[in-house]
Amino acid sequence: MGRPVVQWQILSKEPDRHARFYTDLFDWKVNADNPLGYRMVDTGSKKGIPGGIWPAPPEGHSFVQLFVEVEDVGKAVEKATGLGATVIIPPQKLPEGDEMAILLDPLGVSFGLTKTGTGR
Amino acid sequence: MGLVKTNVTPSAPASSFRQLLQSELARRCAANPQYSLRAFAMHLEIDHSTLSQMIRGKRALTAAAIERLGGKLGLSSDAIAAWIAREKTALSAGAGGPREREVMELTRDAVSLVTDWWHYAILELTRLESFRADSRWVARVLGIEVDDVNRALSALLHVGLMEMRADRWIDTSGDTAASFGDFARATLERLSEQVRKLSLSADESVPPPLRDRTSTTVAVATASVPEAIEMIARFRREILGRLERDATRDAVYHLEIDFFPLTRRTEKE
Repeated sequence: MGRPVVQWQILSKEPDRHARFYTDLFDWKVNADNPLGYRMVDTGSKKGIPGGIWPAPPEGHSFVQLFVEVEDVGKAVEKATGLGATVIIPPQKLPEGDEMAILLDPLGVSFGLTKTGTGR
Repeated sequence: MGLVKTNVTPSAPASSFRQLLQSELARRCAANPQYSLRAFAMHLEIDHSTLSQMIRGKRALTAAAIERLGGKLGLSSDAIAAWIAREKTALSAGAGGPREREVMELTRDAVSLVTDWWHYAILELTRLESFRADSRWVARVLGIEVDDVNRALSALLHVGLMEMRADRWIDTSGDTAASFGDFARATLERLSEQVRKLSLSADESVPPPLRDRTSTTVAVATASVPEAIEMIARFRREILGRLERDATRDAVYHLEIDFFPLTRRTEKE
């Protein structure tokens, strides 16, 4: 099945401003009507992948993160750390059933691992 | 429900009796997906909320409790005596015993990230029966922005004070009533300022039977201060122990105790 990049995410210091900018620029639709209040971004096209906007920590800066789909988030985390990655957020089960973990690669770039649950 | 046969030995790789209980519960749950804390409590002939508090480090494990629970777990009298001795050693080795030391370790790790009052309030909220694993609900209850809840959530997940399990958020901190001893000064100042504002706001919005704020200035003998500090620690444990006994809780409160000298020490002193 490969390991596709299935989602992008903007970690934003000012999520509302970012959402406004991109909806104004590209006519994207942002919907935060979900238990985490997560701003899901619909680009309005079947091409490409969907995205989201999440608030960046106060001490951090805004940046983009990519999520790679795996069959087993725990095992993928184990493999990544064996290759030198650092765990930022250990595997979690999200309200709608997806699993997720955030890591830093050995060069300091953060990325997410995800497994789509049955809730979607 | 059938009870799982006990198989606990003194050589179990736990460093405290609390961890022994945790690992034994985990072992039973792994062996039987239907097994639960309640079933374990039934086996131990103990109230399940009491057991939960013991396992989470919220309730002290007395020698009598270890003796009783150890017996139910099938430990030999020698093993029970060893666990009791180990707990006593742990208690005398540091401030407040394993629970307090665990908290201190967590606060050291979390110090740079868990910096706002709502981080602690969110952890406590998860213990309410009415809790909803919904950032929008948490924001509404605490009167803060959803983005603030989610920033806090990221920080709590990162430092391991919380876990998300689908429709549940689990407080894994053990205890958030930590001494601020390990907090960086800037963090402490920020928290104190936030708490002061909340306290003043509560004065206006919460009726007196539901809040309390007292402040006393008193002359003291410095030699008695360590004893007074020990008394404060006991008081804190006692009041938290009492409040945490309620199986059903519907609000989150903040208890703040300050005790410090107003007079300055001279160079000679």
